[in-house]
Amino acid sequence: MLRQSADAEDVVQDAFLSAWRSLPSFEGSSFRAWIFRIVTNRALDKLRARRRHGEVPLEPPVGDEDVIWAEPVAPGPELADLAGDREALGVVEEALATLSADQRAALLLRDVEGFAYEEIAAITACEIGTVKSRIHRGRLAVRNVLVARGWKGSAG
Amino acid sequence: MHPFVDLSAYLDGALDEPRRAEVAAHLAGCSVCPGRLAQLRATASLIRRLPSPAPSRSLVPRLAAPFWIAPLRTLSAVASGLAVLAFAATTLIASAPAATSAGGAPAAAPASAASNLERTDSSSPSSSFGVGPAASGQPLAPAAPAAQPSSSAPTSDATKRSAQGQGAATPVAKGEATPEGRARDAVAQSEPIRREVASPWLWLAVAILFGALALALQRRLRTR
Repeated sequence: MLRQSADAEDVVQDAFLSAWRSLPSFEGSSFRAWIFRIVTNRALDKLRARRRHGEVPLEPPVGDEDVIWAEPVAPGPELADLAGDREALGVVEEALATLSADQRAALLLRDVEGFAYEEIAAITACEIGTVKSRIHRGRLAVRNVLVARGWKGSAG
Repeated sequence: MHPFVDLSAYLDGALDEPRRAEVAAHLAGCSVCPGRLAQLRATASLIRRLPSPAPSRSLVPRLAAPFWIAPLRTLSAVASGLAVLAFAATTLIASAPAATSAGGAPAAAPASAASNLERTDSSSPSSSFGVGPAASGQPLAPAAPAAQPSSSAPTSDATKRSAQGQGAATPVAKGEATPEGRARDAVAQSEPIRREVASPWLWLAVAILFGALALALQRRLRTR
């Protein structure tokens, strides 16, 4: 999410400390979602602070709803070749880095952490429609980067 | 119209039922959408398989570190310091009599034996008036040579031996020698015991033990 392990560790530690302090005020069904909300908010705060200090370039401009579905420019290695490789995951990491922080948070909460859309909406404090759009755009952007690298992605 | 926008939500099962049925129906008859859905699914699975970064340091246990470690460390450090002080004190105490061992150590011990004799003697005849001074005066006489350095004891024995008859000299000398010997035995016994209890090395060992404990706890606090 932050692409810097030191920052990530700081954020997690910070968030856990604050979670520990506000533990008495914990209400709700899912403790995991609650923890993730705190950690995610801290991470997004961190990213905002970074951007404010000009450490990273501005987020890529968000296009409109009909994001272009790029087609492969040239035939490349099959998914099996690419996916078995660390290279594929490296490409995915790169692609994720190009997403906006909100999109990346939603996508990671969905695909890595396996939260439902409703839970992600609660964690990131936004509408479920927003979650849906963020996940879709994020996933599509990653897919497009992969396709641009010659990934066919029909299998898997 | 292709339901591209909803493909991700369809994949995640996040569509409401009517919309899900629509998309499913479209997928069944579309030539483009199933491929794109498969791509999205593959993308999601790639993202899922991203290596989760391992924290370079333990994040959670640091917060969950036992709260008693820091006080225990301080306590054991203080205990170590106290043991060092005790070690120094006992070393001084042990070395002081050793330096004057020629006269001091034996003299002090018989003196205590003599005072014991005085106590027992003065307490028992205190009720009888006439015998009191005589009784208290008499026991002091045999106690006095005992209180003196051991070098004088043989001389007194020798003078008594010469003064008394030869036949009676041996039993009397033995009779006199035995209490003295017992007192010395008692002194010899009490001295090692005192040394064992207040042994400087014992205190040194305790100091080292607590010092090691404090260091170990400190190290644990640091590394966590």
